[in-house]
Amino acid sequence: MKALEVRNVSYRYPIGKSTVLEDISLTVDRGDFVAVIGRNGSGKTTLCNILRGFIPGFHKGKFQGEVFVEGRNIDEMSMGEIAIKIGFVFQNPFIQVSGVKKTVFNEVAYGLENLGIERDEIIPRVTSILEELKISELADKHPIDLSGGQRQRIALASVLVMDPDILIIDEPTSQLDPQGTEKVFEIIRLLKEKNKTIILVEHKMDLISEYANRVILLDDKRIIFDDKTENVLTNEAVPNHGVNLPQIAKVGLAYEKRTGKKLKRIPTTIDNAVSVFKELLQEEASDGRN
Amino acid sequence: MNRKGVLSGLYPMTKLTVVFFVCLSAFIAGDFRFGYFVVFPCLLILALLEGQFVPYAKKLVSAIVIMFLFIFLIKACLVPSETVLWRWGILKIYEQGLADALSLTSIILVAGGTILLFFETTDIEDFMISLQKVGISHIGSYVFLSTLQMIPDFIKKSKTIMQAQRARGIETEGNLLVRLKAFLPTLTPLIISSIADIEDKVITMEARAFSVEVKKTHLKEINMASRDKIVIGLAILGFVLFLIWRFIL
Repeated sequence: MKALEVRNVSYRYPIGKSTVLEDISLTVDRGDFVAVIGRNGSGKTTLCNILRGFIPGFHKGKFQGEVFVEGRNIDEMSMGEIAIKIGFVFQNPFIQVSGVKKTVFNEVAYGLENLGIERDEIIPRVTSILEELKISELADKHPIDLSGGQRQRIALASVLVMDPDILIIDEPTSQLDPQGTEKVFEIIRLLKEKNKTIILVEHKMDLISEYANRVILLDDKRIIFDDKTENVLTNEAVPNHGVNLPQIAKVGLAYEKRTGKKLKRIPTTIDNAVSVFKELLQEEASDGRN
Repeated sequence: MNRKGVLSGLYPMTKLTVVFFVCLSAFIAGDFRFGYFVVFPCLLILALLEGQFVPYAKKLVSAIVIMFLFIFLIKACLVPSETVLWRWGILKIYEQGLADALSLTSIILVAGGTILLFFETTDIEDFMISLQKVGISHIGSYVFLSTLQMIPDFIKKSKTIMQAQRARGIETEGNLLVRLKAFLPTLTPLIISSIADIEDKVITMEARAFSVEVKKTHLKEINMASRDKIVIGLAILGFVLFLIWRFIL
């Protein structure tokens, strides 16, 4: 079943001179993990805002096309209805606290309060999500006293506690150190295991290749590639659009170029690489024996 | 904030009722001594008992003193009367001006002092919940309180911009004119970035189901206790006695 569908969407910001996206169409099935990649300014965040209904709901400008959430036209849904269906985590961890809650526990509970969930239900739900995300030790801290990485994990918890089926995560690690990045991706791994529909904007190709099962590459206002992760992230044309390939894919492609030998497939993850090169070594060993 | 103090333990609306009566009394009193020598010392003693004297005094100085002095001087110098009490060059302080200045500044002192003490001893979240309980929409209460919360952010951001200016070699220290010259160009980036932050905050709140049209619930439970009713009763009684003293005796 389709979780999200975008039909022929074009958009120009109110003060923009030209369109940011032009005639974009795509579908995201339930349980899909889609990574959106592209150079800065290619429209990744704009696409996320369109999928979430912030465009044209909040940002006006010139919008054309249609967006459907689980088969319903997003125009017919209120912002509140969309909030229940789609969770959204922003790039900047420092703007994602409500500013009116004094503890992380209460901050995470805020979305449930807004949904009118009773107190008796809020407490176990918040406790459970904090435990699941391994951030229970932050429960009594003031949100303002947290580091960027901690705030981003709290932002994820605050969205996940509302249990949306679809999650849009916009560059969650762009302002985090490697340790913070790793912790955020631990949570993303958990979401994948829960079979949530995830749209992730990210620049870290090695992480995308580990997690996403599909990649959309945006450039020049359009979708350039929309295919399985291993097909996009091994395509030598990808760097022409301002995006690097994963290091492991680069190694595979360099091996083919330098040796003139074809690998069974270009690896995109560490596991892939281990199996590809293991097979290669075994083949070479058996050729040597013959 | 010390939540163990008597004032901190009161229901926000109870404190707001007292603030209202005290401010109203200052308006009605018509005597600057009421504000200066009755209410203001009481506020300082309450802050002291609450263990909040130093932060309260600091906020009082930074929030009120400049405005207070400005209004005092304007009133004292610009409201003419026959008797001139003090003269320095073209500056004159008139008797009527001084009386008006004392009267107006005592009201400012009472209103500013009580409101500051209210916020110094009230949990923002408690206040938001209590506002919603009296029927103010969650949007209204959130906007009000997040605006209050923005003030320290605004100051912090202003300092950051000033530091950036300093790093680029612009003189930010010195006399008033130098400081003003450095400060004015910071206003544009300050205002623009603050507007951008508000936009981001609105979207963030939408992502947290802020506009879902249901009756909001609260994780925190706060209710009016019997001591709140006693305090409100005493406030009303005190106000009635004040009116009798002012208009009948």
